[in-house]
Amino acid sequence: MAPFHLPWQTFGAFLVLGGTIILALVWALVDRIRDRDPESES
Amino acid sequence: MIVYIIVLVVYLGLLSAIGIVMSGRSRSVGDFAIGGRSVGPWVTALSFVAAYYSSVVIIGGGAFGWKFGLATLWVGAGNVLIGTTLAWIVLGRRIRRFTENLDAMTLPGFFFGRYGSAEARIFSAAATGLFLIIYNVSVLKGMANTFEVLMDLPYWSGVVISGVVILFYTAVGGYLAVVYTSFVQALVMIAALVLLTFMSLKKVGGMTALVDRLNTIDPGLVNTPGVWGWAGLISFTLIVSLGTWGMPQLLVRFYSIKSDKMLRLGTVIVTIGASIALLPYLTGAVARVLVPELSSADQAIPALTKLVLNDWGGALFLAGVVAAGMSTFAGVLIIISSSMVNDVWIHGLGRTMSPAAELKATRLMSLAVGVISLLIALKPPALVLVLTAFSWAVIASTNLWPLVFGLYWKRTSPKAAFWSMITGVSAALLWQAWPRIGWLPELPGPLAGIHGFVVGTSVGLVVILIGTFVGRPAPRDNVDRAWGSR
Repeated sequence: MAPFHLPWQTFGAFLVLGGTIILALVWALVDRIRDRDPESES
Repeated sequence: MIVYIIVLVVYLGLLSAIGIVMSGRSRSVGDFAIGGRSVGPWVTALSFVAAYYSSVVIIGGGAFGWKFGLATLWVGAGNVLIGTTLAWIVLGRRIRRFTENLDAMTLPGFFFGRYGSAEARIFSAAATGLFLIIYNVSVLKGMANTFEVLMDLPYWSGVVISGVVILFYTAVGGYLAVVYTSFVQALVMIAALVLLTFMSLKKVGGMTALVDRLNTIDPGLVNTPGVWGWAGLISFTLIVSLGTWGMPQLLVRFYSIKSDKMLRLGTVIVTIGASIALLPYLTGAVARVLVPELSSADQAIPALTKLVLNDWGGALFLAGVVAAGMSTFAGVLIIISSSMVNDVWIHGLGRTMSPAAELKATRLMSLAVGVISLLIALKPPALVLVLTAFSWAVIASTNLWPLVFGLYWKRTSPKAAFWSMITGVSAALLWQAWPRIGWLPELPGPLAGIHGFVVGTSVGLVVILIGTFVGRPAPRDNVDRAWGSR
Protein backbone atom coordinates (compact mmCIF):
# COMPACT_ATOMS: atom_id res chain seq x y z
CA MET A 1 0.00 0.00 0.00
CA ALA A 2 1.32 3.45 -0.95
CA PRO A 3 1.03 6.60 1.23
CA PHE A 4 -2.51 7.79 2.10
CA HIS A 5 -3.80 4.18 1.76
CA LEU A 6 -3.67 4.62 -2.03
CA PRO A 7 -2.87 1.70 -4.33
CA TRP A 8 0.54 2.18 -6.00
CA GLN A 9 -1.12 2.31 -9.42
CA THR A 10 -2.98 5.46 -8.40
CA PHE A 11 -0.20 6.96 -6.27
CA GLY A 12 2.00 6.62 -9.37
CA ALA A 13 0.38 9.80 -10.71
CA PHE A 14 2.08 11.78 -7.90
CA LEU A 15 5.38 10.01 -8.60
CA VAL A 16 5.14 10.93 -12.28
CA LEU A 17 4.48 14.54 -11.28
CA GLY A 18 7.56 14.59 -9.03
CA GLY A 19 9.64 12.91 -11.75
CA THR A 20 8.48 15.51 -14.27
CA ILE A 21 9.63 18.39 -12.08
CA ILE A 22 13.03 16.69 -11.68
CA LEU A 23 13.19 16.13 -15.46
CA ALA A 24 12.58 19.85 -16.10
CA LEU A 25 15.30 20.85 -13.63
CA VAL A 26 17.84 18.36 -15.00
CA TRP A 27 17.10 19.33 -18.62
CA ALA A 28 17.53 23.02 -17.82
CA LEU A 29 20.83 22.31 -16.08
CA VAL A 30 22.20 20.08 -18.85
CA ASP A 31 21.10 22.58 -21.49
CA ARG A 32 22.87 25.37 -19.65
CA ILE A 33 26.10 23.38 -19.37
CA ARG A 34 25.88 22.43 -23.06
CA ASP A 35 25.41 26.07 -24.00
CA ARG A 36 28.52 27.11 -22.06
CA ASP A 37 30.66 24.40 -23.62
CA PRO A 38 31.76 25.73 -27.04
CA GLU A 39 32.62 22.22 -28.31
CA SER A 40 28.99 21.18 -28.01
CA GLU A 41 28.16 23.67 -30.77
CA SER A 42 29.97 21.62 -33.39
CA MET B 1 -23.23 38.76 -3.45
CA ILE B 2 -21.66 42.18 -2.91
CA VAL B 3 -18.30 40.49 -2.27
CA TYR B 4 -18.50 38.66 -5.60
CA ILE B 5 -19.28 41.92 -7.37
CA ILE B 6 -16.37 43.80 -5.72
CA VAL B 7 -13.86 41.05 -6.56
CA LEU B 8 -15.06 40.75 -10.16
CA VAL B 9 -15.16 44.50 -10.83
CA VAL B 10 -11.62 44.96 -9.48
CA TYR B 11 -10.39 41.93 -11.40
CA LEU B 12 -12.03 42.74 -14.74
CA GLY B 13 -10.94 46.39 -14.36
CA LEU B 14 -7.33 45.25 -13.91
CA LEU B 15 -7.50 43.15 -17.07
CA SER B 16 -8.94 46.05 -19.08
CA ALA B 17 -6.21 48.35 -17.74
CA ILE B 18 -3.54 45.90 -18.94
CA GLY B 19 -5.20 46.00 -22.39
CA ILE B 20 -5.00 49.80 -22.46
CA VAL B 21 -1.36 49.87 -21.31
CA MET B 22 -0.34 47.29 -23.93
CA SER B 23 -2.18 49.04 -26.77
CA GLY B 24 0.76 51.46 -27.07
CA ARG B 25 3.14 48.55 -27.66
CA SER B 26 1.19 46.99 -30.55
CA ARG B 27 2.47 49.05 -33.48
CA SER B 28 2.80 46.33 -36.13
CA VAL B 29 1.19 43.02 -37.04
CA GLY B 30 4.24 41.26 -35.55
CA ASP B 31 3.56 43.06 -32.25
CA PHE B 32 -0.17 42.33 -32.41
CA ALA B 33 0.20 38.63 -33.33
CA ILE B 34 3.31 37.52 -31.41
CA GLY B 35 4.32 40.50 -29.26
CA GLY B 36 7.35 41.27 -31.43
CA ARG B 37 9.09 38.18 -29.95
CA SER B 38 9.82 40.14 -26.78
CA VAL B 39 8.17 38.19 -23.94
CA GLY B 40 10.19 36.97 -20.93
CA PRO B 41 10.22 33.43 -19.46
CA TRP B 42 7.92 34.02 -16.47
CA VAL B 43 5.14 35.59 -18.52
CA THR B 44 5.56 33.06 -21.34
CA ALA B 45 5.45 30.09 -18.95
CA LEU B 46 2.52 31.17 -16.80
CA SER B 47 0.51 32.44 -19.76
CA PHE B 48 0.98 28.98 -21.31
CA VAL B 49 -0.54 27.44 -18.17
CA ALA B 50 -3.48 29.87 -18.28
CA ALA B 51 -4.15 29.24 -21.97
CA TYR B 52 -3.84 25.47 -21.53
CA TYR B 53 -6.27 25.09 -18.64
CA SER B 54 -9.60 26.61 -19.58
CA SER B 55 -12.70 26.84 -17.43
CA VAL B 56 -13.75 23.60 -19.16
CA VAL B 57 -10.73 21.85 -17.60
CA ILE B 58 -11.49 23.10 -14.09
CA ILE B 59 -15.23 22.42 -14.13
CA GLY B 60 -14.97 19.37 -16.43
CA GLY B 61 -11.92 17.98 -14.58
CA GLY B 62 -13.87 18.22 -11.33
CA ALA B 63 -16.75 16.41 -12.99
CA PHE B 64 -14.43 13.60 -14.09
CA GLY B 65 -12.96 13.35 -10.58
CA TRP B 66 -16.48 13.15 -9.14
CA LYS B 67 -17.56 10.48 -11.62
CA PHE B 68 -14.43 8.35 -11.96
CA GLY B 69 -12.48 9.03 -8.73
CA LEU B 70 -8.74 9.24 -8.14
CA ALA B 71 -7.64 7.40 -11.32
CA THR B 72 -8.27 10.75 -13.03
CA LEU B 73 -5.13 12.09 -11.29
CA TRP B 74 -3.31 10.40 -14.16
CA VAL B 75 -4.94 12.84 -16.57
CA GLY B 76 -3.42 15.72 -14.60
CA ALA B 77 -0.02 13.98 -14.48
CA GLY B 78 -0.22 13.46 -18.27
CA ASN B 79 -1.02 17.15 -18.74
CA VAL B 80 2.15 18.10 -16.88
CA LEU B 81 4.55 15.51 -18.37
CA ILE B 82 3.37 15.23 -22.00
CA GLY B 83 1.26 18.34 -22.49
CA THR B 84 3.66 20.74 -20.83
CA THR B 85 7.24 19.70 -19.98
CA LEU B 86 7.92 17.43 -22.97
CA ALA B 87 6.17 19.92 -25.28
CA TRP B 88 8.56 22.64 -24.09
CA ILE B 89 11.63 20.40 -24.35
CA VAL B 90 10.83 18.77 -27.68
CA LEU B 91 9.11 21.62 -29.53
CA GLY B 92 10.06 24.89 -27.84
CA ARG B 93 13.55 25.63 -29.12
CA ARG B 94 12.99 24.40 -32.65
CA ILE B 95 9.74 26.30 -33.04
CA ARG B 96 11.40 29.49 -31.75
CA ARG B 97 14.34 29.16 -34.17
CA PHE B 98 12.43 27.92 -37.20
CA THR B 99 9.66 30.52 -37.02
CA GLU B 100 12.28 33.27 -36.74
CA ASN B 101 14.30 31.84 -39.64
CA LEU B 102 11.16 31.55 -41.76
CA ASP B 103 9.68 34.85 -40.52
CA ALA B 104 6.44 33.02 -39.66
CA MET B 105 3.92 34.43 -37.19
CA THR B 106 1.32 31.67 -37.41
CA LEU B 107 1.33 27.87 -37.55
CA PRO B 108 -0.07 27.82 -41.12
CA GLY B 109 2.64 30.36 -41.98
CA PHE B 110 5.22 27.93 -40.59
CA PHE B 111 3.81 25.11 -42.76
CA PHE B 112 4.10 27.31 -45.84
CA GLY B 113 7.65 28.39 -45.05
CA ARG B 114 8.84 24.91 -44.08
CA TYR B 115 7.13 22.89 -46.83
CA GLY B 116 6.45 25.50 -49.51
CA SER B 117 2.88 24.15 -49.53
CA ALA B 118 0.11 26.70 -50.03
CA GLU B 119 -2.60 24.05 -49.67
CA ALA B 120 -1.25 22.93 -46.26
CA ARG B 121 -1.30 26.58 -45.15
CA ILE B 122 -4.90 27.15 -46.27
CA PHE B 123 -6.22 23.85 -44.94
CA SER B 124 -4.55 24.27 -41.56
CA ALA B 125 -5.78 27.88 -41.25
CA ALA B 126 -9.36 26.97 -42.24
CA ALA B 127 -9.74 23.80 -40.14
CA THR B 128 -8.01 25.30 -37.13
CA GLY B 129 -9.94 28.59 -37.39
CA LEU B 130 -13.34 26.93 -37.68
CA PHE B 131 -12.81 24.47 -34.84
CA LEU B 132 -11.15 27.06 -32.59
CA ILE B 133 -14.32 29.16 -32.87
CA ILE B 134 -16.30 26.10 -31.80
CA TYR B 135 -13.83 25.51 -28.97
CA ASN B 136 -14.26 29.14 -27.93
CA VAL B 137 -18.02 28.66 -27.71
CA SER B 138 -17.49 25.82 -25.22
CA VAL B 139 -15.07 27.98 -23.19
CA LEU B 140 -17.58 30.87 -23.04
CA LYS B 141 -20.32 28.45 -22.10
CA GLY B 142 -18.20 27.06 -19.24
CA MET B 143 -17.60 30.56 -17.86
CA ALA B 144 -21.27 31.54 -18.15
CA ASN B 145 -22.35 28.34 -16.36
CA THR B 146 -20.06 29.22 -13.46
CA PHE B 147 -21.55 32.73 -13.21
CA GLU B 148 -24.98 31.08 -13.26
CA VAL B 149 -24.25 28.70 -10.38
CA LEU B 150 -22.07 30.87 -8.13
CA MET B 151 -23.74 34.27 -8.62
CA ASP B 152 -27.26 33.25 -9.64
CA LEU B 153 -26.89 35.36 -12.78
CA PRO B 154 -28.76 34.46 -15.96
CA TYR B 155 -26.66 32.49 -18.48
CA TRP B 156 -26.66 35.26 -21.10
CA SER B 157 -25.21 37.85 -18.71
CA GLY B 158 -22.25 35.57 -17.92
CA VAL B 159 -21.55 35.25 -21.67
CA VAL B 160 -21.83 39.01 -22.21
CA ILE B 161 -19.77 40.13 -19.17
CA SER B 162 -16.84 37.82 -19.87
CA GLY B 163 -17.07 38.15 -23.67
CA VAL B 164 -17.07 41.95 -23.77
CA VAL B 165 -14.08 42.35 -21.43
CA ILE B 166 -12.01 39.82 -23.42
CA LEU B 167 -12.92 41.46 -26.73
CA PHE B 168 -11.90 44.84 -25.36
CA TYR B 169 -8.44 43.97 -24.13
CA THR B 170 -7.64 41.63 -27.02
CA ALA B 171 -8.62 44.02 -29.83
CA VAL B 172 -6.98 46.99 -28.09
CA GLY B 173 -3.81 45.43 -26.70
CA GLY B 174 -3.18 42.46 -29.01
CA TYR B 175 -0.92 39.56 -28.10
CA LEU B 176 0.97 41.43 -25.37
CA ALA B 177 -2.30 42.22 -23.59
CA VAL B 178 -3.27 38.56 -23.93
CA VAL B 179 -0.03 37.21 -22.43
CA TYR B 180 0.19 39.77 -19.62
CA THR B 181 -3.47 39.30 -18.66
CA SER B 182 -2.91 35.54 -18.89
CA PHE B 183 0.04 35.89 -16.52
CA VAL B 184 -2.24 37.57 -13.95
CA GLN B 185 -4.97 35.03 -14.69
CA ALA B 186 -2.58 32.11 -14.09
CA LEU B 187 -1.73 33.51 -10.65
CA VAL B 188 -5.44 33.88 -9.83
CA MET B 189 -6.16 30.33 -11.07
CA ILE B 190 -3.30 28.85 -9.04
CA ALA B 191 -4.41 30.70 -5.88
CA ALA B 192 -8.05 29.69 -6.39
CA LEU B 193 -7.32 26.01 -7.01
CA VAL B 194 -4.83 25.72 -4.15
CA LEU B 195 -7.33 27.39 -1.78
CA LEU B 196 -10.20 25.14 -2.85
CA THR B 197 -8.05 21.99 -2.58
CA PHE B 198 -6.69 22.92 0.85
CA MET B 199 -10.12 23.81 2.28
CA SER B 200 -11.90 20.80 0.80
CA LEU B 201 -9.22 18.34 2.00
CA LYS B 202 -9.46 19.93 5.44
CA LYS B 203 -13.22 19.50 5.41
CA VAL B 204 -13.04 15.84 4.40
CA GLY B 205 -10.44 15.06 7.10
CA GLY B 206 -7.26 14.86 5.02
CA MET B 207 -5.98 12.79 2.11
CA THR B 208 -6.04 9.42 3.91
CA ALA B 209 -9.62 10.00 5.12
CA LEU B 210 -10.61 10.91 1.55
CA VAL B 211 -9.19 7.64 0.20
CA ASP B 212 -10.86 5.59 2.95
CA ARG B 213 -14.25 7.24 2.41
CA LEU B 214 -14.06 6.83 -1.38
CA ASN B 215 -13.18 3.17 -0.82
CA THR B 216 -16.38 2.66 1.17
CA ILE B 217 -18.47 4.24 -1.64
CA ASP B 218 -16.78 2.18 -4.38
CA PRO B 219 -13.19 0.81 -4.51
CA GLY B 220 -13.28 1.64 -8.23
CA LEU B 221 -13.06 5.31 -7.22
CA VAL B 222 -9.61 4.70 -5.70
CA ASN B 223 -8.07 2.14 -8.06
CA THR B 224 -6.54 2.74 -11.49
CA PRO B 225 -8.11 2.52 -14.05
CA GLY B 226 -11.02 2.00 -11.66
CA VAL B 227 -14.55 2.64 -12.86
CA TRP B 228 -13.34 4.47 -16.00
CA GLY B 229 -11.45 1.57 -17.65
CA TRP B 230 -8.17 1.74 -19.61
CA ALA B 231 -9.62 2.78 -22.99
CA GLY B 232 -11.34 5.85 -21.61
CA LEU B 233 -8.51 6.86 -19.27
CA ILE B 234 -5.70 6.50 -21.83
CA SER B 235 -7.69 8.07 -24.70
CA PHE B 236 -8.69 11.06 -22.63
CA THR B 237 -5.20 11.55 -21.16
CA LEU B 238 -3.69 11.46 -24.65
CA ILE B 239 -6.13 13.91 -26.18
CA VAL B 240 -5.77 16.52 -23.46
CA SER B 241 -1.99 16.01 -23.19
CA LEU B 242 -0.52 15.14 -26.60
CA GLY B 243 -3.28 17.24 -28.19
CA THR B 244 -1.55 20.41 -26.96
CA TRP B 245 1.35 19.71 -29.35
CA GLY B 246 -0.94 20.73 -32.20
CA MET B 247 -2.79 23.62 -30.53
CA PRO B 248 -1.68 26.93 -32.08
CA GLN B 249 -2.80 29.11 -29.15
CA LEU B 250 -0.25 27.25 -26.98
CA LEU B 251 2.51 26.87 -29.58
CA VAL B 252 2.50 30.63 -30.21
CA ARG B 253 4.15 31.08 -26.78
CA PHE B 254 7.31 29.55 -28.30
CA TYR B 255 7.32 32.04 -31.20
CA SER B 256 7.02 35.00 -28.89
CA ILE B 257 9.61 34.25 -26.18
CA LYS B 258 12.51 36.71 -26.28
CA SER B 259 15.23 34.11 -26.90
CA ASP B 260 15.51 30.35 -26.99
CA LYS B 261 17.85 30.44 -23.97
CA MET B 262 14.90 31.67 -21.91
CA LEU B 263 13.14 28.37 -22.60
CA ARG B 264 15.33 26.79 -19.88
CA LEU B 265 13.95 28.82 -17.00
CA GLY B 266 10.56 28.81 -18.73
CA THR B 267 10.48 24.99 -18.74
CA VAL B 268 11.04 24.83 -14.98
CA ILE B 269 8.44 27.53 -14.24
CA VAL B 270 5.84 26.05 -16.58
CA THR B 271 6.28 22.57 -15.10
CA ILE B 272 5.72 23.80 -11.56
CA GLY B 273 2.80 26.04 -12.62
CA ALA B 274 1.17 23.29 -14.67
CA SER B 275 1.20 20.98 -11.63
CA ILE B 276 -2.14 22.52 -10.65
CA ALA B 277 -3.59 20.22 -13.33
CA LEU B 278 -4.07 17.51 -10.70
CA LEU B 279 -6.14 19.72 -8.42
CA PRO B 280 -9.51 19.82 -10.26
CA TYR B 281 -9.50 16.00 -10.41
CA LEU B 282 -8.57 15.70 -6.74
CA THR B 283 -11.21 18.21 -5.62
CA GLY B 284 -13.76 16.47 -7.85
CA ALA B 285 -13.06 13.26 -5.91
CA VAL B 286 -13.48 15.17 -2.63
CA ALA B 287 -16.82 16.44 -3.94
CA ARG B 288 -17.90 12.82 -4.45
CA VAL B 289 -17.62 12.37 -0.67
CA LEU B 290 -18.93 15.75 0.46
CA VAL B 291 -21.67 16.36 -2.13
CA PRO B 292 -22.62 12.88 -3.38
CA GLU B 293 -26.12 13.82 -4.55
CA LEU B 294 -25.85 15.95 -7.69
CA SER B 295 -28.11 16.06 -10.72
CA SER B 296 -25.06 16.56 -12.96
CA ALA B 297 -21.35 15.89 -12.38
CA ASP B 298 -20.62 19.37 -13.81
CA GLN B 299 -22.01 20.82 -10.59
CA ALA B 300 -19.34 19.10 -8.47
CA ILE B 301 -16.85 21.98 -8.29
CA PRO B 302 -19.38 24.83 -7.96
CA ALA B 303 -21.26 22.88 -5.25
CA LEU B 304 -18.03 22.10 -3.39
CA THR B 305 -17.02 25.76 -3.61
CA LYS B 306 -20.28 26.82 -1.99
CA LEU B 307 -19.82 24.22 0.74
CA VAL B 308 -16.20 24.81 1.78
CA LEU B 309 -15.40 28.44 0.93
CA ASN B 310 -16.77 31.67 2.38
CA ASP B 311 -17.88 34.54 0.14
CA TRP B 312 -14.36 35.90 -0.38
CA GLY B 313 -13.02 32.43 -1.18
CA GLY B 314 -15.96 31.76 -3.50
CA ALA B 315 -15.40 35.09 -5.26
CA LEU B 316 -11.69 34.25 -5.70
CA PHE B 317 -12.64 30.87 -7.11
CA LEU B 318 -15.12 32.41 -9.53
CA ALA B 319 -12.39 34.83 -10.62
CA GLY B 320 -10.09 31.80 -11.09
CA VAL B 321 -12.57 29.97 -13.32
CA VAL B 322 -13.30 33.12 -15.29
CA ALA B 323 -9.54 33.69 -15.57
CA ALA B 324 -9.07 30.21 -16.98
CA GLY B 325 -11.77 30.76 -19.58
CA MET B 326 -10.76 34.30 -20.53
CA SER B 327 -7.09 33.51 -21.06
CA THR B 328 -7.95 30.59 -23.33
CA PHE B 329 -10.57 32.55 -25.25
CA ALA B 330 -8.29 35.56 -25.75
CA GLY B 331 -5.35 33.38 -26.86
CA VAL B 332 -7.58 31.70 -29.42
CA LEU B 333 -8.92 35.03 -30.72
CA ILE B 334 -5.42 36.29 -31.53
CA ILE B 335 -4.56 33.06 -33.32
CA ILE B 336 -7.68 33.01 -35.47
CA SER B 337 -7.54 36.69 -36.41
CA SER B 338 -3.87 36.72 -37.42
CA SER B 339 -4.29 33.43 -39.27
CA MET B 340 -7.41 34.55 -41.16
CA VAL B 341 -5.89 37.86 -42.26
CA ASN B 342 -2.32 36.75 -42.92
CA ASP B 343 -2.74 33.17 -44.13
CA VAL B 344 -6.17 33.17 -45.76
CA TRP B 345 -6.79 36.74 -46.93
CA ILE B 346 -3.29 37.94 -47.88
CA HIS B 347 -1.44 34.76 -48.86
CA GLY B 348 -4.34 32.45 -49.70
CA LEU B 349 -6.43 34.88 -51.72
CA GLY B 350 -3.45 36.93 -52.88
CA ARG B 351 -4.68 40.33 -51.59
CA THR B 352 -2.07 42.99 -50.92
CA MET B 353 -2.20 45.17 -47.82
CA SER B 354 0.02 47.79 -46.28
CA PRO B 355 1.42 46.88 -42.82
CA ALA B 356 -0.88 49.48 -41.21
CA ALA B 357 -3.94 48.11 -43.02
CA GLU B 358 -2.99 44.56 -42.02
CA LEU B 359 -2.74 45.59 -38.36
CA LYS B 360 -6.15 47.29 -38.55
CA ALA B 361 -7.67 44.28 -40.33
CA THR B 362 -6.26 41.88 -37.72
CA ARG B 363 -7.72 43.98 -34.89
CA LEU B 364 -11.12 44.08 -36.64
CA MET B 365 -10.96 40.35 -37.36
CA SER B 366 -10.33 39.60 -33.65
CA LEU B 367 -13.42 41.67 -32.83
CA ALA B 368 -15.51 39.98 -35.52
CA VAL B 369 -14.48 36.45 -34.50
CA GLY B 370 -15.10 37.29 -30.85
CA VAL B 371 -18.58 38.67 -31.56
CA ILE B 372 -19.46 35.60 -33.67
CA SER B 373 -18.31 33.26 -30.86
CA LEU B 374 -20.26 35.32 -28.33
CA LEU B 375 -23.45 35.25 -30.38
CA ILE B 376 -23.19 31.50 -30.94
CA ALA B 377 -22.51 30.97 -27.21
CA LEU B 378 -25.66 32.89 -26.25
CA LYS B 379 -27.73 30.09 -27.70
CA PRO B 380 -25.49 27.34 -29.03
CA PRO B 381 -27.13 25.18 -31.71
CA ALA B 382 -27.17 21.45 -30.95
CA LEU B 383 -24.64 20.76 -33.73
CA VAL B 384 -22.13 23.19 -32.20
CA LEU B 385 -22.46 21.49 -28.83
CA VAL B 386 -21.76 18.14 -30.46
CA LEU B 387 -18.79 19.56 -32.36
CA THR B 388 -17.18 21.06 -29.25
CA ALA B 389 -16.31 17.52 -28.19
CA PHE B 390 -14.45 17.12 -31.52
CA SER B 391 -12.62 20.44 -31.61
CA TRP B 392 -9.39 19.37 -29.90
CA ALA B 393 -9.32 16.12 -31.89
CA VAL B 394 -9.70 17.96 -35.20
CA ILE B 395 -7.19 20.73 -34.48
CA ALA B 396 -4.58 18.33 -33.12
CA SER B 397 -5.13 15.85 -35.98
CA THR B 398 -4.54 18.70 -38.44
CA ASN B 399 -1.35 20.13 -37.02
CA LEU B 400 0.43 17.57 -34.83
CA TRP B 401 2.43 15.44 -37.26
CA PRO B 402 3.15 18.05 -39.94
CA LEU B 403 4.60 20.18 -37.13
CA VAL B 404 6.66 17.49 -35.36
CA PHE B 405 7.98 15.95 -38.59
CA GLY B 406 8.59 19.40 -40.04
CA LEU B 407 10.81 20.27 -37.08
CA TYR B 408 12.79 17.04 -36.93
CA TRP B 409 12.89 15.33 -40.34
CA LYS B 410 14.25 17.32 -43.26
CA ARG B 411 13.01 14.80 -45.78
CA THR B 412 9.32 15.14 -44.79
CA SER B 413 7.28 15.50 -47.96
CA PRO B 414 4.94 18.52 -48.36
CA LYS B 415 2.29 16.32 -50.00
CA ALA B 416 2.58 13.81 -47.14
CA ALA B 417 2.13 16.63 -44.62
CA PHE B 418 -0.95 17.92 -46.44
CA TRP B 419 -2.55 14.48 -46.80
CA SER B 420 -1.74 13.68 -43.19
CA MET B 421 -3.87 16.71 -42.27
CA ILE B 422 -6.78 15.74 -44.53
CA THR B 423 -6.87 12.06 -43.60
CA GLY B 424 -6.25 12.74 -39.89
CA VAL B 425 -9.15 15.18 -39.66
CA SER B 426 -11.46 12.97 -41.75
CA ALA B 427 -10.67 9.89 -39.64
CA ALA B 428 -11.19 11.79 -36.35
CA LEU B 429 -14.53 13.23 -37.52
CA LEU B 430 -15.77 9.95 -38.99
CA TRP B 431 -14.84 8.05 -35.83
CA GLN B 432 -16.61 10.54 -33.58
CA ALA B 433 -19.68 10.62 -35.85
CA TRP B 434 -19.81 6.82 -36.24
CA PRO B 435 -22.28 6.08 -33.39
CA ARG B 436 -24.61 8.78 -34.76
CA ILE B 437 -24.73 7.35 -38.30
CA GLY B 438 -27.59 4.86 -38.26
CA TRP B 439 -26.58 2.65 -41.20
CA LEU B 440 -23.05 1.91 -39.91
CA PRO B 441 -22.58 -1.25 -37.80
CA GLU B 442 -22.12 -0.72 -34.08
CA LEU B 443 -18.49 -0.58 -32.88
CA PRO B 444 -17.47 -3.40 -30.53
CA GLY B 445 -17.13 -2.41 -26.83
CA PRO B 446 -13.36 -1.81 -26.46
CA LEU B 447 -13.18 0.11 -29.76
CA ALA B 448 -16.15 2.32 -28.90
CA GLY B 449 -14.25 3.74 -25.91
CA ILE B 450 -11.41 5.06 -28.10
CA HIS B 451 -11.57 8.79 -28.82
CA GLY B 452 -11.46 10.13 -32.40
CA PHE B 453 -8.21 11.93 -31.51
CA VAL B 454 -6.37 8.60 -31.18
CA VAL B 455 -7.78 7.37 -34.49
CA GLY B 456 -7.17 10.69 -36.30
CA THR B 457 -3.58 11.08 -35.15
CA SER B 458 -2.80 7.38 -35.80
CA VAL B 459 -4.06 7.66 -39.39
CA GLY B 460 -2.22 10.97 -39.83
CA LEU B 461 1.02 9.38 -38.57
CA VAL B 462 0.81 6.44 -40.97
CA VAL B 463 0.04 8.74 -43.91
CA ILE B 464 2.89 11.17 -43.23
CA LEU B 465 5.38 8.29 -42.81
CA ILE B 466 4.37 6.40 -45.96
CA GLY B 467 3.89 9.61 -47.94
CA THR B 468 7.38 10.80 -47.03
CA PHE B 469 9.00 7.53 -48.11
CA VAL B 470 7.28 7.57 -51.49
CA GLY B 471 6.94 11.33 -52.06
CA ARG B 472 9.32 14.19 -52.79
CA PRO B 473 10.90 16.19 -49.96
CA ALA B 474 10.27 19.92 -49.60
CA PRO B 475 12.26 22.27 -51.86
CA ARG B 476 15.87 22.54 -50.69
CA ASP B 477 15.53 26.29 -50.27
CA ASN B 478 12.67 25.98 -47.76
CA VAL B 479 14.50 23.34 -45.71
CA ASP B 480 17.72 25.36 -45.63
CA ARG B 481 15.88 28.49 -44.54
CA ALA B 482 14.04 26.63 -41.78
CA TRP B 483 17.26 25.11 -40.41
CA GLY B 484 19.01 28.46 -40.73
CA SER B 485 21.72 27.08 -42.99
CA ARG B 486 21.36 29.92 -45.50
